[in-house]
Amino acid sequence: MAADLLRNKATGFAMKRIALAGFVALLGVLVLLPLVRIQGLAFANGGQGYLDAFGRAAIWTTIRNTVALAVGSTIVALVFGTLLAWWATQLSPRLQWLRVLPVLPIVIPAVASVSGWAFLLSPRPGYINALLRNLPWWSDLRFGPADIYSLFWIVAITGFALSAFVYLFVSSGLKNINSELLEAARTSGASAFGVFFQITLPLLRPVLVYGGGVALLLGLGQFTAPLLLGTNQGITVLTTDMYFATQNEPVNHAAAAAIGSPLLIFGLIMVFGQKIMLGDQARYITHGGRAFRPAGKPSGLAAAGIFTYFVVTTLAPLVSLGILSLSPFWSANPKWSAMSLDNFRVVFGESVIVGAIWNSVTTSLLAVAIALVIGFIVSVVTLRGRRYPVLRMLMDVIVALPLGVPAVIFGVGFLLAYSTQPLMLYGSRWLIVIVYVTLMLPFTTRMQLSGMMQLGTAYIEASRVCGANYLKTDLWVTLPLMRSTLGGAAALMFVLLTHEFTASVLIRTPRNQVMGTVLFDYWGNGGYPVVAAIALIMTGVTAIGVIMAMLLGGRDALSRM
Amino acid sequence: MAEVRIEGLHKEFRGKPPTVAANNLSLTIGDGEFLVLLGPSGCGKTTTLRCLAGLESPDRGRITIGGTLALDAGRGVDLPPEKRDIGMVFQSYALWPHMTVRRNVEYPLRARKLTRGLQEGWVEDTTKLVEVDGLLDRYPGQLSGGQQQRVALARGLVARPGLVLFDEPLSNLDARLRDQVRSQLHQLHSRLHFTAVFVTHDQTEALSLADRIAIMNKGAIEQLDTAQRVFEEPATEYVAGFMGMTERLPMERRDGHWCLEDGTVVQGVPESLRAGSSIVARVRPQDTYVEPQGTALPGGSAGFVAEVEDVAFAGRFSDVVVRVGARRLQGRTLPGSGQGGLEPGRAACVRFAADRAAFYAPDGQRLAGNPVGGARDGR
Ligand SMILES: Nc1ncnc2c1ncn2[C@@H]1O[C@H](COP(=O)(O)OP(=O)(O)O)[C@@H](O)[C@H]1O
Ligand SMILES: [Mg+2]
Repeated sequence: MAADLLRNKATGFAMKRIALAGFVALLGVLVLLPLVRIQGLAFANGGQGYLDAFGRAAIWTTIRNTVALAVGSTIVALVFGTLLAWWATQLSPRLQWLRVLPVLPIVIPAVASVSGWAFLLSPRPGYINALLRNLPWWSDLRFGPADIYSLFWIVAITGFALSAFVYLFVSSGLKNINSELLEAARTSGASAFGVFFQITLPLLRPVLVYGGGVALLLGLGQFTAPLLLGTNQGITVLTTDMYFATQNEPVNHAAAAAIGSPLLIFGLIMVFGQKIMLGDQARYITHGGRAFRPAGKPSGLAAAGIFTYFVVTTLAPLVSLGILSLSPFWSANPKWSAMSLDNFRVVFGESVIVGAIWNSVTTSLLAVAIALVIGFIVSVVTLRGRRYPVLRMLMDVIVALPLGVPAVIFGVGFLLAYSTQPLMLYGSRWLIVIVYVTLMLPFTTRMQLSGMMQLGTAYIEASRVCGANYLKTDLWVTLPLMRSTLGGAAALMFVLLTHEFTASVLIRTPRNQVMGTVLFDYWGNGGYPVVAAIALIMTGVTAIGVIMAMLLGGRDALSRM
Repeated sequence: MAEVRIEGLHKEFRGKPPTVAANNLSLTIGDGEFLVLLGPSGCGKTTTLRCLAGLESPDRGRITIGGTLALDAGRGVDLPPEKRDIGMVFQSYALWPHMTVRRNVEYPLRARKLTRGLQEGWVEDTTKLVEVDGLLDRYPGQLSGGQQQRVALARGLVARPGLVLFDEPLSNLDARLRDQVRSQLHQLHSRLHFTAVFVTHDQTEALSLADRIAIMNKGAIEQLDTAQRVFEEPATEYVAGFMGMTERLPMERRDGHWCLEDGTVVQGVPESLRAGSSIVARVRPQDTYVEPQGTALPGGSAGFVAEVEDVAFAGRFSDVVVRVGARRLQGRTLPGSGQGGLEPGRAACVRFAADRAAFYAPDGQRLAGNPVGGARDGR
């Protein structure tokens, strides 16, 4: 009987290993094939792509702009994100809902907020500029005073968007600080400010380093703001340069591939560096720890600060979208009497736009469903697959890569990898779904993995000693207990995907669009009121996703990222 | 019901330095026996228990449960937990929060497809036994700690497994509840006769529940005996310390006398001890009496002179701290004597009955010729 057992066990083990190897290979194709294709092309013909890309004089300005954008927006994000997170700890119980506001820049589509900013601060017809020109000392200006199409404002807007990420990291870091450490400093005579600078900030250093790294990475990969705002005055960064190389005549895919390399290398360094520093994820598993919340005294200033930041950076662009979407055309002084819903009628009468909305929603839903399943398997293997150390490590790196590699690179990579036989998917909706799944791998994994780690091992072990195998345990215990995590992850991914623009704009075809790309087309044609309407609709779809997230994942679903 | 055999169980955790959590451990637990694994935190009790459950994969060893081979590391046999005929009660209870009490308790029956149990009402029977039958439709979050504990107990027992494992199940309860649940568990065992392995670091709990106690030290079993024998005849100094014999008296043979480190002569050390030139006596504070100097030493007692440092009133007697050389000892006055005429700074006579003490060689092994069980030791 023991020999039987032995054989069954050995074959079972081999089967599982083969299944897992197949799964990892699939993920590898998904993530690595585009990257390999992109480098293959860049190095083809003796590195002609690299010669074309880096032989131009303009490339150095582009690189300088890229660095300026990344570093500048990271600094903006670190300052505001930290400040907002600190303020968020000082809210009175009645004002706790304000904690959500700083996260909103993540859930508002980038194309929407960037175009909203343009409508506010464009030199001539920008609404705020027009208002400011009423002030006596600016009354003689015909343009400005602010110019949204400048590097300064591109940096600022990007920084505002990234502050949401820093806010999330720092908030969770603050939650892990034992409030007694802070109270001890207060009772030793330190002021609130003293405590913040002498105790809180030093304790937050690892979080700030990590959050700053993530912001830097995202800043380097920024695409939407430089594309929409920088093109006017020829301000290019690596991502937009890459895009233009694939769009403008003469199209040079090899050069596009080469331009992305600095971003790719930096992303890889970040991903591997983080893996090495974190080590084995399973080590961090707990049996349900207790978090302390720093109990600052409620402060009216903090609440006012958070609200003001929200109004200026988040609400204002939305309001400008609202005004413009109701106006017949974009002018500095909107006429209230001429307002109508005509633009929305145009949007819903235009089959391309309606098709794009439908496309966005269905491809996103499909991609979310696939990503959820993949993320669950990856998380389970990460936590339980000690017997497959090599496969597990490979899988871990592969699913983390899309976080480090900018979406533009994936866009170009997928374009190259799937527009030739035998993998001819270009022009099909499936290509969009596959790209979306790839982009979501880090999110689905991270959220489900952390959900499982918080769940701890006790519930699962209790089920196993009751006689349930892993399959039953997952079905009856793990999945039900993960419901809110899964719901939150699904809704978050839906939000991120319905406003995906960067990769989509590279792989779309005229007949196969998503919301962000039709918005961009109207932007290019100068159809600004329709742009505003589409942007608002995108925001509305996102809002539905957010509400779903709240319902399924509980009120803190957004901060689970 | 099941007999459990553990042979050469070995489990190391990697790290710097590696931790040996179970060190070549062998043990046979009789059918229906209640075995307690006792030891301080970190000595490997939980790891041993988890190896029995199949939740941990040992490096070496064999385990059979009720005649079924559950583990044979040498041949690559390691049955997963669900294939072992066990029940387990966790320290944190681990009741699934999304299931009612009823669903929690019937889970083992469903998982093991014991439809008979579902039809015959084993859930109701078991919950009645632990007195939570009124709570079946509540969720774990709506129960008190003691109720949760008893639900966890019911879940461990409901499928009538041959072997039930307990990992410090009472340690999260407050003192009164702990006594209650403990005696309930004792009754349950005498009624149901399951084989039990119970992990704890609490000697009272161990003594009151165990048929036999295994005292663990650094992953190995230091002594395996009935509760009474472990209490009265600790096999090593380590066990003695753990069983409450906290007062330690190292002695050396000088000029035909047994002397403490500072030269104080100890009288009345049993002649029967087969000792070398040094020994260590272990005794409980409640067996160590302190009396005014000059009191005669009764027969069968050992005693010496020490300086009183502190006297604290404790009701029918007083707790006394005495000092000999650099060593401090805890003792008490005779019952009913109050302060016992003792004053700090004055000399006093310290004595204990030789058959309430245990004597060890310097390496910690029990000496042959101890007043209690001496004949057995001499084997
Ligand atoms: N998963 C693990 N990884 C590394 N070391 C462990 C692990 N589990 C337990 N240990 C170590 O093994 C030793 C025994 O642990 P444990 O069996 O939990 O002790 P006990 O239950 O007696 O308190 C301890 O030193 C502990 O630190
Ligand atoms: Mg333990």
